[in-house]
Amino acid sequence: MPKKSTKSYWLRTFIQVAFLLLVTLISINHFRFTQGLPPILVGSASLHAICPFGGVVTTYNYITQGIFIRQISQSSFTLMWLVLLLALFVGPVFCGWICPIGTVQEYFGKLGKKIFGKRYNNLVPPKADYWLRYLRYIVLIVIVILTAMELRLIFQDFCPFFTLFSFWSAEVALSGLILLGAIFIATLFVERPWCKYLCPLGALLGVFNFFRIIPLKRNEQTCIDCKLCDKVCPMNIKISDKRIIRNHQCISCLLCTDEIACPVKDALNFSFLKTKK
Amino acid sequence: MKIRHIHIFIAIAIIMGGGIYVSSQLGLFHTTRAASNNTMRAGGQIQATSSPQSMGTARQMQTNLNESATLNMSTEDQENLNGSTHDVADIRGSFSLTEIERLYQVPPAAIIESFSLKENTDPRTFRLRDLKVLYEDYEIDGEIYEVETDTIKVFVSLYTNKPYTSDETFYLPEKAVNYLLRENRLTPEEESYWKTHTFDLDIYARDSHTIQAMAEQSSAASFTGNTTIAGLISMGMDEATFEEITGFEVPEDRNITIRNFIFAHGLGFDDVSEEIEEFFR
Repeated sequence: MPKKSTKSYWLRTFIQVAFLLLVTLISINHFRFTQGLPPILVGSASLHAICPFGGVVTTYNYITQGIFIRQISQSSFTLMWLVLLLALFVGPVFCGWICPIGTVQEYFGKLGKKIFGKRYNNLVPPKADYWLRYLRYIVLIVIVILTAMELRLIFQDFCPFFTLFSFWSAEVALSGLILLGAIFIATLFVERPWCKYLCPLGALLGVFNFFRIIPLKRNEQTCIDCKLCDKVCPMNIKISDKRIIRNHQCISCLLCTDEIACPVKDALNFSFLKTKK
Repeated sequence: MKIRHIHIFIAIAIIMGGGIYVSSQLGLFHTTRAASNNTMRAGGQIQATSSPQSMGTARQMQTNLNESATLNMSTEDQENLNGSTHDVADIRGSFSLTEIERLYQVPPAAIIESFSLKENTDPRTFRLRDLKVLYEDYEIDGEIYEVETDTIKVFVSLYTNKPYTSDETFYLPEKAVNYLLRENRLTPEEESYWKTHTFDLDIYARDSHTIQAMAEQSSAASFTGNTTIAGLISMGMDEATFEEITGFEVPEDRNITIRNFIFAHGLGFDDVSEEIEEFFR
């Protein structure tokens, strides 16, 4: 992938891998904690305590009753606000740079690229793909409502994050394992299928793309219309026909920008300023 | 200004890293649920858990009174609630009188007098759950009631004018009501209700032999955080009860201590341990 700035490309990879290792270590430490063993290097918080989506599902009960639902702690609520603040400035950076499920899909998907070549990530019929991308908003609404009513983490039995990082635990539900397996299989055909179609946190963060302070801008004057940006976008966003790209699926990975894929300097990047005409 | 990878890296470091650091310093980044009682910031009222249809007249009246008390709160009281106040519903049987004083500003002497405790009761060691040992159940209008933690919750609610709706406590000891009246803690509506819903607690006091026997029996069946789940089951707790209390199935590895199990599942230690103690009692 790195065409121009290798350093920049590896910076994102470094952060992705760092967070993946951090979460893995925390989950191992948490398991060690239940066995009465001391943690290694970092803490032994539960997975629920380090997932910002826990904050999302408990917000209603916190506002109306002043309580966090069972299994959700303060840290989850605080993380939610930090991730939302980050999204307000630079969009869903959490999805493209931090989320370990996104990272796992991205790197497992490279296997699919080898199998299908240029057809990879273009196998779902466009019309179905278009409508399926709104499914995650339904998932978000249903989970938030049911959690508020039930006062428990109903999503835990399906959550791929929880399942992946505690698959050895008796707490993991069969439904979670099946869904995680389906995601891995789908990743061989589609890049980031969980993020695109089902992730409720991605849905919430995706909305920030419409009013993020720093949007993606294309300079129509300098753009040579090579469509490389369209080809590299993991979320299949059509970038090359817009001046300001405010697509709800953007994950701020920066792969399309002139720092990585775009061959023309200043033709495509995230910026505060209006593109010169 | 163009946003580069390095800027995103800095944004993540500042917002996520800095945010976690600052929130930790402010006490807003607990990764476990607090073992002590929660702090209520929303000012919401705890709702009665039983349906109104199942309530007797006295119950309904008391619920209405509590609701009325909330609605009639002064602006200052409501501001206090909206600021940061401890939720009466979070009072646990494991709380000592000293903890009640610290968290709810109810002096130990108020509870000692209102609940006929000995004058030399040590507020640091006396736990609210001890009330169950000191007093027998009492019967009014064919219904059996207990003097227990919930009774204290109602007392604290009335003393502090903090909202709490009980579906268990509809009568208070006469001395408790007299104390609240003397301290001018009741609204006219509350006064008219509680004056007619009292009982003489002293006649239900257990004799010292019974208290000692119950205390020994209780300690024999007591458990600690280091008790394993296998230990709990061998003490007589069935799996269904364990699941009901914790909300989780009994794990395959039953040699996990109950403390570790509770923390592993993000539960409050006090919440669960109190229910387990209640079961063995």
